[in-house]
Amino acid sequence: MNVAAGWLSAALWRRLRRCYSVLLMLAIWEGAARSGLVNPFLLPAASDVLANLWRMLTEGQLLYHVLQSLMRAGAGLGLALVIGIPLGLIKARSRLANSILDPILAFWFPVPKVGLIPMALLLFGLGHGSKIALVFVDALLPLVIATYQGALRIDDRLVWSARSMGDTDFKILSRVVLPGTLPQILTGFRLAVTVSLLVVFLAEMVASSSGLGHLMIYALRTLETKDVFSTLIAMSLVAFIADGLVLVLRRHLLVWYE
Amino acid sequence: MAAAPRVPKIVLRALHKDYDDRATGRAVAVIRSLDLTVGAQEFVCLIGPSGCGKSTLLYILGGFVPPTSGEVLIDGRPVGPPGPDRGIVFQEYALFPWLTVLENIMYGIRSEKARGLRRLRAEELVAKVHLTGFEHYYPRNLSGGMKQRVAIARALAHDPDILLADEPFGALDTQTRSLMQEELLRIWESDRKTIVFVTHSVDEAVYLADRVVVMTARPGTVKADITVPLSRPRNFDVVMQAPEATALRAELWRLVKEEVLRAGYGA
Amino acid sequence: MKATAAQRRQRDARIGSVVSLILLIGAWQLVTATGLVPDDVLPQFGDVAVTWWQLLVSGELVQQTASSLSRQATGFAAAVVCGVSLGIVMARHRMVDDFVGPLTSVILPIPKAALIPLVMLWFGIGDIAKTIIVFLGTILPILVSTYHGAASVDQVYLWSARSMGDNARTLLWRVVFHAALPEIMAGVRMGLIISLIVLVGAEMLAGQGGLGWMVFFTLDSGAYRVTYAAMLTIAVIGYAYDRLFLMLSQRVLHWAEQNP
Repeated sequence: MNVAAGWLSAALWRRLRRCYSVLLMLAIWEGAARSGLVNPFLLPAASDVLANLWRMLTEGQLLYHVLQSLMRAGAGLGLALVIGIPLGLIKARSRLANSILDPILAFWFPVPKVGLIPMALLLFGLGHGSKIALVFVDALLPLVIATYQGALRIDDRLVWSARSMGDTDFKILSRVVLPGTLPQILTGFRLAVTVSLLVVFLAEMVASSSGLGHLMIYALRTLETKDVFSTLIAMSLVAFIADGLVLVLRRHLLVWYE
Repeated sequence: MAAAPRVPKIVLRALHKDYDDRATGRAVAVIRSLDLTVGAQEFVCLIGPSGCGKSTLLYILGGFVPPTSGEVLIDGRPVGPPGPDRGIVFQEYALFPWLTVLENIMYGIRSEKARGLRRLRAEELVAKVHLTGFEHYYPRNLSGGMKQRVAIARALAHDPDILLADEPFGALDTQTRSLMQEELLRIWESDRKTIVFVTHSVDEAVYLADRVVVMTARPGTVKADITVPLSRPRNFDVVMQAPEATALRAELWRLVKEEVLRAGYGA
Repeated sequence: MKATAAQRRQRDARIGSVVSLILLIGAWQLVTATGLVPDDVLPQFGDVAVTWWQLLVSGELVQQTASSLSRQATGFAAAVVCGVSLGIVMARHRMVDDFVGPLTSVILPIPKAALIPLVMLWFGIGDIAKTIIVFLGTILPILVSTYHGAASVDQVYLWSARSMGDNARTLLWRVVFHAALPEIMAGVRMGLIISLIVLVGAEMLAGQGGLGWMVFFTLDSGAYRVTYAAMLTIAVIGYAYDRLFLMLSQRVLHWAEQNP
């Protein structure tokens, strides 16, 4: 019936409306690059960039560098989780800890910790250590703050019920506090993941011999424009997938929450 | 009832309103075949079970929501987009939190060009709702009753012919609510507007209105349209003890209860 | 009663700041003085402090700071103006949203650091390039916050305003903007923090003066005390800038409900 046809095109129309600008931009990009309107050195065609990306993946060492970056980011994140979550819980629990930690956190929160790159390099050398240290420092704060805020929100009465049922402190922590704080922690974790990737790429750009950041700056210095673009896409994909994984994790862990 | 054969202020004829239910994708009828007339300077209360469409009816009158079909006439002309001819007061007050009491009220005054004149007029309104001294307070420092008074003053600021009220006293405690009801009547007596007032409370409707319109459960239509046989001005205690008032309240409650039960206790 | 509790919290905060500062400097001194960390990796706090003072007096520090801040300020200001305007218009005009929205979603996952080499490729290593980097890195979080704030303005505000005679245009700037302001300010604050990150990163990579350059250049040349002095300056500026912004935010949002 006409109703069905109308409905179909309405949904299609809506879908189209939501992505036509991206398609348009891609078309303009491709057209401008191919037609020679723009210097192909400055703006290689989109299709060339994608082909190049494929080449880097299959023939080049792209995967190796991706793993280097991920490994450093992951290690830093892992450390930040292990130290940050307990710190956040302590901060929520103890007035004393709070008054000592709070000013430290408040001070370091807005500071661009990338400024500490030289210090990290001096302390840990040019290898993995410096990058991991930087990721750790940057990922720590969002996690501590998120854990702290999440723990604060836990209804005291939940804790009292558990205690009156005879639960030990540890049990209360693992059965009541942590699950209750999980939504906030995951939000902080999502931010920490974004920041980690940002920092690791930046640190690799400044001083590294491996990783996506290094790859990009190397491409810039050797004027391999296509590689610059391809690496940019690679970085974006990595960030996008990482964020997507966090969201999947969130949905999985928080089935009860939403 | 007035004998003069003027054009009624508000005329609703065969009003239908459907909403799209996003969950099922189908249209849900909220209002169906509704006919209603409101005369100029009449105070009409709409009561009915939750979800019966009484607020939606108000929003249609205000021009915020379009009707699906039917006629909605104000002064004989089809209703248009929201405008200064209709003032609205919400249950949540809707005061702009970034403006003071005075500034909120001044926001509605469009008749004066000079800021000084607007200010003067706003101060008059502040006095009218008994909030003198609070002109420079921000909404977050006001109690519910005070906020609602500002909301009413603001709605009156642009001198609308019609005042639409969506359960304005619903969020207030009982004492404040009574005081606000008296206040509203007092303001109305001094400057009679046409008022369409949505409420859950039968008592409130009987106290305030010239006419009470009972709506059915969804899809809403007019179940009963009863004139309130009490003279004005109405003193709360006297009025509520009067046998006519008690009888009316019982009758209205019976009608509403029927619809509430039909709706399944406000599903 | 409420006043004293808040005052007590402020007093605690101040004492806490002093204590943490002392702890940090103490730890620094301890680590260097005992030789736990060699002097060429982490100079003593005292030495760094002296160097910092010398740099200040000689005018070098001021010059580099001014360089950095001017680039950051221009890019940031432009990002705020464009981001907020666009965000508000997007939130209330479907057509604009349909066009800009998907583009934003595509650009959003790009790590801001990745933009630096790209902009360097197109615009070189000068001031303009750095300003553009700051602009691009900052505009996105501001846009997203503004959009979200503007899109979630309570319907009753809009309806009240319209019944009082506002048309679509006055509605945007007299109601939507103000109602969204708390969220806008939060987004702008994030933008500020990000702007400093990309600025320092860009200066490290592209050179041409500024605090980021200073930190990196002296690292190469071995003048570590200057390196640390510059790092400290970056830290202090980051903190001070944020503090100032929070104070401004307090003023601007004085009417907002206090959230616990």
